[in-house]
Amino acid sequence: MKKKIAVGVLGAFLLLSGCAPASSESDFYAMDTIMVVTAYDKNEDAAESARVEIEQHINALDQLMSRQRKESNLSQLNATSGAIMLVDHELYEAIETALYYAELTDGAYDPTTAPLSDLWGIGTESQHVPTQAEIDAVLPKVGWQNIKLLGQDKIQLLNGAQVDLGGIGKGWAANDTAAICKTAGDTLRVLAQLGGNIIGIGENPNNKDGEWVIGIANPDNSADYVATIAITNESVVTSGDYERYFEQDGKRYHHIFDPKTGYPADSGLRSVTVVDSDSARADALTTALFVMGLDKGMEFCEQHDIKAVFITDDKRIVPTDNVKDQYEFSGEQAGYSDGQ
Amino acid sequence: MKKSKRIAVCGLLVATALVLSLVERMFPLQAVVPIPGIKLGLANVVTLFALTRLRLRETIAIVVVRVLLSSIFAGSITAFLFSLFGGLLAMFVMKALFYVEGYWVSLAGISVAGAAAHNIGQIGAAVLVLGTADVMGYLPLLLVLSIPMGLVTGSVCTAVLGHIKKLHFFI
Amino acid sequence: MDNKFRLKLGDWVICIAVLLLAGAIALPFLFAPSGALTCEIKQGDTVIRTIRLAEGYRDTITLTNGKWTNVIEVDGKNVWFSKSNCPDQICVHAGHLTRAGQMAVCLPTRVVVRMVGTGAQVDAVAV
Repeated sequence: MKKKIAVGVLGAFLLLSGCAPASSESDFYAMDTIMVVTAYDKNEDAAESARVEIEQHINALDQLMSRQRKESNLSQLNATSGAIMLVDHELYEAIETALYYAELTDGAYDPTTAPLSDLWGIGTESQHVPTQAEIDAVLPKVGWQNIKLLGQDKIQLLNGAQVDLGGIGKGWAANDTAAICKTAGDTLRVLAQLGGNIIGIGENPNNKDGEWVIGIANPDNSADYVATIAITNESVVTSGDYERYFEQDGKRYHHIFDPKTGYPADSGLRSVTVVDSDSARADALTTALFVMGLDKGMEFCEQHDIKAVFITDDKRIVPTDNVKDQYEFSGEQAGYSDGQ
Repeated sequence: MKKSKRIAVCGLLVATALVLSLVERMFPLQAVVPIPGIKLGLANVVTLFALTRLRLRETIAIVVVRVLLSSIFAGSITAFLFSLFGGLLAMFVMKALFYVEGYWVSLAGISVAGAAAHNIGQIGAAVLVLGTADVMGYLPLLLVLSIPMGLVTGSVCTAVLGHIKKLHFFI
Repeated sequence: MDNKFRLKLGDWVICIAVLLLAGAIALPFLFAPSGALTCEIKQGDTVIRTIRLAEGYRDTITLTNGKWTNVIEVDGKNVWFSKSNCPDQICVHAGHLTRAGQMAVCLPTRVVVRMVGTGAQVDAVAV
């Protein structure tokens, strides 16, 4: 009897300690945003070491690609004033990828809008609506064709262009996170929240279906969500007009610029979410689709088999057909309508 | 029993209870009940033993001193309150059951009831301290756990009492 | 005193009574699966507050980092950045946090507010 009880009690404790895999979580600031990385593995050491490796790699990428850091390789490139520069290979590849999406989207995504961001200063103490003359003076610098890739990691910037990888860098970091996890083994599962870029790698140990459920932010209350996307080994990226903006004379000026007009994109959309296994692709495309607007964006998605969810300023949530089996609408209470 | 011997026994029992409080920290209870300060109640075995051999007021003193010291070693005000409520409620319930001990109820049952009372006391304190009844949600699980816990402490106590008899060490 | 460890009838009665009590308490929680909701407020690497949210609970928390100051309000199961003098206002734009899995951040003050709970329907929110 005593033995039986002892075995039973021991079993109960093993059950208690063994029911969830060990996890390791941290939040840190990089790439001008907050990042939360949670790693799960069969023991705490494995989870911890994977998480630390991811964190260190992202910090290294930030050192390389940040436009805000004066000493970064990207800042050095932006300071060349037209001279040819030999850059770090990973930076070269990232810029090459950015240019690929700029060309694919016919410039709707553009990695050279930094002079516009600086001029408007949205989200900083100097935010204001500039005059048309100021915008016209800046526009020649904007345009992805101003970046010349000369091969062998050599780049030249024409017409005073400035490269900003803000629209692709977090996606690049998310892809690298996935690559790190792949080499770390099958038992590792990771949820990485890199600002608005979210990637779920492996099966979610907290969900019996193994999926990671990601909310799409409510544009009027962005901590809340109005729809959800279920993913495994995919990334969800959202861009919207509700995070960085200011209002002047009753008009909202947000941080996603139309490179052609020099003004914040006024396309009738509040946000665009893209679901893709390639997070850099998703990152670049959210910006591009936001600039294109609903009709042009839907057409573009169909042509290139992109999974996207659009939220319009008349409170409709419109998913593309290919995302519908991962998508669930939940925005009724917040006043949104299901635009399926 | 002489007064000095009684005091010495009380001290020994407090020390034993403190060791048990340290041992129970090793169980990952926080994984299922994420309220800092909630304990399994291994130290109740000492209360049970004290009730069989000492007076009520001495047993109360042992419980209070044990809770106080273990909270000073490693704990917070909330953990102190949880342990105090739990420890005292367990003791009173066990004391009450000792009146029917013998033919119908053995130490095992008393101990299970004590463990259950310990958890009810802890969660009761948590409801008061945290100001929300939500924490009651953890009580069913703790109550189910209190059955194996109580059976273990009960069997330990029975065994110890048996050995003491064999040693002719009467207190 | 019986030194053999053998369960008596009363012992069984006690065990069954404890199980019944556990079941009785569990019932209302099974029908309301929302679970407990906790709000964790962090600044940098330090956890400032962990609040178990419940109706009727009210609090105002002011946190400062250099020249930037946040005011966080808690009212029942609602938590929000009510005021901030930071330039980007991202924390204030995040609005109200009411459900597990939600998060709001102020980058200049390094303050993170997260809602943690057993009934989380999402693992993260893409903003």
